[in-house]
Amino acid sequence: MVSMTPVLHNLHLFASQSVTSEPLETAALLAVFGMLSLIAVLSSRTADRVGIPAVLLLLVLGMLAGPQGFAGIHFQNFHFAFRLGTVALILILFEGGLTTPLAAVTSVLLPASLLATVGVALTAVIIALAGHGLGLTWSESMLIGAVVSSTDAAAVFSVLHAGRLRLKPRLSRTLEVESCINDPMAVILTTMVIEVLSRQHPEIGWLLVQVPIQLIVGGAVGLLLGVSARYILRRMPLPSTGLIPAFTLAMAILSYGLASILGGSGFLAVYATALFMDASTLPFRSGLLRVHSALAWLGQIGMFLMLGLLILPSQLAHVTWLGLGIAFALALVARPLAAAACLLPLRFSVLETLYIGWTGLRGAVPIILATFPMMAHLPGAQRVFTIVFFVVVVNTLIPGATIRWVTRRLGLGQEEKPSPEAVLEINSARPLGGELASFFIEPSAAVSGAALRELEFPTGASVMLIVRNNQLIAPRGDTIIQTGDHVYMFFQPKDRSLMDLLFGRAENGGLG
Amino acid sequence: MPLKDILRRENIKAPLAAKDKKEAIKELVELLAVNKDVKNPDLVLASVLERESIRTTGVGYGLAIPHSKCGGVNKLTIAIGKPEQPMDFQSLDGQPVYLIVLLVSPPEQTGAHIQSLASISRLMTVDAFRSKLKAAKTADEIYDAIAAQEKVMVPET
Repeated sequence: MVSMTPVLHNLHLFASQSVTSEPLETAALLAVFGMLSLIAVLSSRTADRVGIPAVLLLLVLGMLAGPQGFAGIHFQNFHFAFRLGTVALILILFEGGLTTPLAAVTSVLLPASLLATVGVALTAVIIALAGHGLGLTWSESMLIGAVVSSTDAAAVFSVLHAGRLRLKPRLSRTLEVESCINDPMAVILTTMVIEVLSRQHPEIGWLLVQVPIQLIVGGAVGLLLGVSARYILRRMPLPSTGLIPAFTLAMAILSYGLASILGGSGFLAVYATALFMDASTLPFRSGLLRVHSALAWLGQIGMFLMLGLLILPSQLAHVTWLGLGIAFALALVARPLAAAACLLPLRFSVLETLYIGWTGLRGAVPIILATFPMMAHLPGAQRVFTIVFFVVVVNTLIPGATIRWVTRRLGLGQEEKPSPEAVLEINSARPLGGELASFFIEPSAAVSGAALRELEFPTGASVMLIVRNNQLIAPRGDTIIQTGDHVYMFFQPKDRSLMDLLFGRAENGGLG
Repeated sequence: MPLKDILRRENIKAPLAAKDKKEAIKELVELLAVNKDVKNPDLVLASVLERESIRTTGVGYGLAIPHSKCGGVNKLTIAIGKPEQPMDFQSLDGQPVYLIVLLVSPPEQTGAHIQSLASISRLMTVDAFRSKLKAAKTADEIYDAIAAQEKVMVPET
């Protein structure tokens, strides 16, 4: 790594100044990015154990690779950062939508939309007041308020989906959906503040109408593309299963572009497209989810490394106290108050409200928004950017590192243990009638110890295969289901709840 | 074996005093212990909760069927409880439950255990029967509804 430093010192990434040193420059860049990604992937094990969101580690890693770190990469291209950040967020949001059942979203739509609108505005106002109280100018504090007002989907998903956290579904869904639909509000607030500050005589009334318009157009584009994608995938088999994720990825990118051009929220459109595709009943389901999960990880790694690169540690030192002050004002005052204002009227319990107030995870979105003032060349933009970075790090680190403890402490965990992974995968390239599922047999399952002939199955249901240790077993009448078996079942969709009742624990990812 | 032959009127309680899932299961196990159908309530409770921890038995339709096979019981036994208010059971369909059917049996009665689970869940797919249970106020009303419905579905030979 050290020997590479001289080459990299002269790298002005994507600034298109020097083309003479190619292909060495590209090679060096890819080598460094590959190495950083590798470190990021491997260190995620440790991060997961400690409970630090993996994304934070990436930020730090990026910072270390930056101009003042060991690799000395000079990368201050805010325009490119904005683009890359947008693409990465699309990948992350799309995967989030694919893994969320539509019904789960509708059940928390009201609290999530309140948090995403009223909650965001309230947060922005409180932070602006706090910032001014701490000695920032009004313009700086208003910018910071707007920029950090929304929670971040990437951080929320990364923390909530991390291994051993089993949060009550209503809370995790509310946090997830909120993080996916609150970006338009923050974008609009930021744009509004920038326009006010650059004295472009904005029409505030018009900007406020933008919020519902953005949400409706974004949602409508998502609905349209999601439903069509679903129709196409189910009715027109593609020549190769490898093309299925290529198709869905194209839909994801298209939905962002289309919705944004039409004046809607692109991020919401991406999430809605994935949601309305209803991945749980698509052909090639598990293969599709795996590809998108990999893409989402790549998006996270790329985006946070890049954002880390944008930060100069020497500037962090200048605003330490200011940054910490605003960060804590957000974590301890603004977010809890906003959560209380939105959720208590909806009969969320005080504990649940506190919990949601505590887990207002910030991440890439605020940092991407903080590139807006930089691109608009506003005075104080650099200081704002650095403070925002502080706020994000603190508001990711504190909730992220404490979330397991808090979940346990407040008794808001789900009682069920997580589903084990299947040992065998069965993928279908075309939609099939009937359901396939695999179950892991726990000692307490009703069927454990039963001979297959004792099971009175409804018509159209049967055990297909049993995997016991490393052995495949043909199911016959006298075969006895044992603890630790993986039982592969075929049944009709209407009998799903009976199967869950008898077999207990369905497995992840075996069939699709 | 028809459910009405397994179920005793005194093992039905409406309304339950319990306010949440765990309390409700405990209350039903204790009811069975008082009526001498369960000899070791602690063992039974622990094993029912263990089953509950792998996957909720709230199968949807507002019904939950917590169950287990364990040594703390002499024969296949059922208790039914109706919460005062529909209760969160982390059900598969997210709906609160208004009827809890607890089923416990000794470990060797696997076949009967599974068949009873299946027939309870089959009974509950009948819309008219479900609304009858939802409206039922007393243990007797619940018992009679079940006996009547079984008669329709499984005519006695």
